[in-house]
Amino acid sequence: MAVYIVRRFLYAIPVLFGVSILVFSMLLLIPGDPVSLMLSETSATSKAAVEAKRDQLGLNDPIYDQYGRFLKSVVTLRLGTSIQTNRSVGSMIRDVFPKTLELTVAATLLTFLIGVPLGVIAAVKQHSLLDTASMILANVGVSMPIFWLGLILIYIFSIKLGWLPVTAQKGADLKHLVMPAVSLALGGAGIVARLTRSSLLEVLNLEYVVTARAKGLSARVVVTRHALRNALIPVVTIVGLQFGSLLGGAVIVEAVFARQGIGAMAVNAIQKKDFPLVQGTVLVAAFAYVIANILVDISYAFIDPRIKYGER
Amino acid sequence: MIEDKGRTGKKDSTVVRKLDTLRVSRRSFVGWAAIAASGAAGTLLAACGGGDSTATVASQSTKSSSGTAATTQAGAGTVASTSAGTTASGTQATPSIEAKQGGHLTIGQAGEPDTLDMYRTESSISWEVGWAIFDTLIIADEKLALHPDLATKWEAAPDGTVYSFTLRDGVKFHDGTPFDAAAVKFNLDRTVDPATGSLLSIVDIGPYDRTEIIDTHNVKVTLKSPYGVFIRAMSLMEFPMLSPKIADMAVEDVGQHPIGTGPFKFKQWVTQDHIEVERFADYNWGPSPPYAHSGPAYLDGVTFKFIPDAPTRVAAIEANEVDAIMKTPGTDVSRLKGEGYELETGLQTGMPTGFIVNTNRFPTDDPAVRKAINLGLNRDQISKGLYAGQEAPGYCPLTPTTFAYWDCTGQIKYDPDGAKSALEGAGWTKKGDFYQKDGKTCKLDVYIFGTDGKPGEAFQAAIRPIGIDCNLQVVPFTQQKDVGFSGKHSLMLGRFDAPDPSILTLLFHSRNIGPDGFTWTHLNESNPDLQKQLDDLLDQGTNEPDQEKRKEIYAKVQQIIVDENMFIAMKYDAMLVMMNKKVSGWKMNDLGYQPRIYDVSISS
Repeated sequence: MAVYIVRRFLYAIPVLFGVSILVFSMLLLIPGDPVSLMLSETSATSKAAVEAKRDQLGLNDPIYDQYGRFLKSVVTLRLGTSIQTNRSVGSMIRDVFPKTLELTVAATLLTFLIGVPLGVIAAVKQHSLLDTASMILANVGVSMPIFWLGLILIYIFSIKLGWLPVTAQKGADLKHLVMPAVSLALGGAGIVARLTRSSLLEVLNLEYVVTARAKGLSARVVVTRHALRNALIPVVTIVGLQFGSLLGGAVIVEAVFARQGIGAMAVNAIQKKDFPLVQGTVLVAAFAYVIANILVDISYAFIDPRIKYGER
Repeated sequence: MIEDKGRTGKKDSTVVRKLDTLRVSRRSFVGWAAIAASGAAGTLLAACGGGDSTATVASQSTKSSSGTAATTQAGAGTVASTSAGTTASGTQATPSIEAKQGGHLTIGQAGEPDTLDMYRTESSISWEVGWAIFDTLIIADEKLALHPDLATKWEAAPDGTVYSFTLRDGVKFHDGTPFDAAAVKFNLDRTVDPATGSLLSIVDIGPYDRTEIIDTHNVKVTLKSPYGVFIRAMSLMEFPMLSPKIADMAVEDVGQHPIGTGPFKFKQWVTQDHIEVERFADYNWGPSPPYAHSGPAYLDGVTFKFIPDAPTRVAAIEANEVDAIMKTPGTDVSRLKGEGYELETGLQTGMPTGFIVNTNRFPTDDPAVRKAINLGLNRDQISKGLYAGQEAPGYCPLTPTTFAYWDCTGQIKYDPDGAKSALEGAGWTKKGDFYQKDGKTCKLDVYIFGTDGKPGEAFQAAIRPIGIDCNLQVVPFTQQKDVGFSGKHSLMLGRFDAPDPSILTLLFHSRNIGPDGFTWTHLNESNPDLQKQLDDLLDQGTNEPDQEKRKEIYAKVQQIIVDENMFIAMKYDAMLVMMNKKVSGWKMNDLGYQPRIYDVSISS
């Protein structure tokens, strides 16, 4: 088991390396001169200013030098200096990343907590009214745009009912997390519900389930202990992949609810052409995605004993 | 290119007030705001002292003869003194101060400042916060007249290269450091120090050479060449007085922990969430005018809460989480008014949102087509349709609140019949829906920059009834200069905020033609003689120290722009601030979008 986990992490190293090269090349791949792009909205578009900025960013050095410097900044977690704020990108991201993590973890949990029960109900009561209702709900969740859902939630729960705050308030409890997490989770929950349903239906027809029933186990035990465990394997994979789209969705949710977060920071950085900050946020998002997938791989080992015992 | 012929030796740059383009979606005007941004002949000289600045200057008439001489000869530098203003309002204001004192104001800002180092930023949101924390040497009122702030008196030497300032006594920074001549020298020297990394201030300070300390409260600033804009520049938030102690701070900390002399002390900045400031109890140098009271600020503190998304800002005020919101969408205004919120409107200065016309490309190379667009464009329809009538239809090259605005509405008004007869008079004939000439349809290539194509669609719909077709292109901002310089456009949309008519230099002077320039009319190709004439007038406008003469010069400039229909204005932009009934005393400053929070009070 430990070997399996260690191996997963070792596999991640070349991936992270590749990510760092991709992120680094962003600056090189931008059409035109990134420095003039950065400066085009400023008054300092003179040749001298462009050259000074190039020197400051070290863009006149050989590419391997630049990449070496970039890697060093990654390892030291400083990640360069933001052009807008003059602060270290690492410290800017550290300020807000916990908030994105809070949001995505809450949304992931909700995705599971809403999606799996819906899917189970639909599968167990196949072709019933409950099945239709939960699948309609799932479809609605998948098809609603996040920003629209967010605004509707704000309208109902903040303005009309006054139950939940629109934006995060000073010293507030977890109340401010409810609407952002729900609007982020519903889409994923819909996908998870549909997948759980089809996966569980498939498993319920397998022979070992028939055997379990024949042994006289209660329907609940058959579903939860025997069938669901196998049915969840593809679901867990999807939830892992969903983490990436949650990070993407966080961009929108953070904007709609004026939340701190790495998504909003990335969008702002792109608009302000703050390349070190763009690189930093993309890098952190990519790392988070890789780590989420390692966690999914590890969770397989718990769900599917074949992986644990199948160690070569 | 863009070699400056005259003064700074730098690129020709007019101060352009850039509104932030922080958000991605669903916002109408912010999207195209940042279009402009920069460039050229620092010339924001505005109505100072001379004729129209009222009480303060009048009280000064008996002052030294040298002051008067400076006024007549240099114009830009004027004499003023504060003592009258402060004492007069000081006695009146005292009783109401106690009544109004206290409370905390939360403002929903349309975004987050990049830094609170005003010498580094170009962001209007930074300046909005800056006025709470900092004071400037000079301050402008809403009519653009200049008044003393941290400098009680200033004068320009006859040759316009030396400016003397007398500084207010008894002022100290939030960290306790006294404000004196050394502080002024520190700040102005820091502006031009490359280590500061200034982008805009370094251009707007012009040909700055050095500051000499005469004594504790007197400094002499020397410029390398005459630059009448200097005094006006000193009234902008680009040049606040920072505590010299910041020299010991790390560069990034200066913008994170600002220390000024303003009515509020910096307290806290939570990234992506809010900035909080608290009352500076020792503050008793608030200049009046333009402020309505003296002594410390009324409010205990202010929170600038960052809510970039417009619908969320509106929801936040309705849920009572903020007391006021900046940049309210026009479409929400009348509903919020109906719910009891109050509106304060700030009017933009500079050039309105409108289209720059390519005079050297079919079909806008035909003066009749340009005229037909300017007369046939139904601005009322656009204003009502897109902005719920909250932002006024625009007609002229400068907005009405801009210094030297020349009223063109005798010439430019909605006149569809006039538009059609202009086209027909020039040999265009209508075939089907659109006019044609020599077998070619009158079809405009209209460029919109950013992500929001709605203004373009509105234009398309408003000009179609005249018989003019549009090919609408919505492209990223980064292509703006390329489109303008290469001349792919018939019309391209822009908005250029500025405190002074010298913004016209940026958009219409042949010096600013080039890959980095902002002059996209291609008049030098279609009518070189007129371009030359325009260049001369624009140069005169920049150099002329006499404000009344400048008005005449810029009237001629605007007349040419209107006669040639080189710019099709669309709307006069407004900063719409909604606030709840508890808030009172809210006013916008001379530039139209920065609030004067010092005078604001809140009832419990």
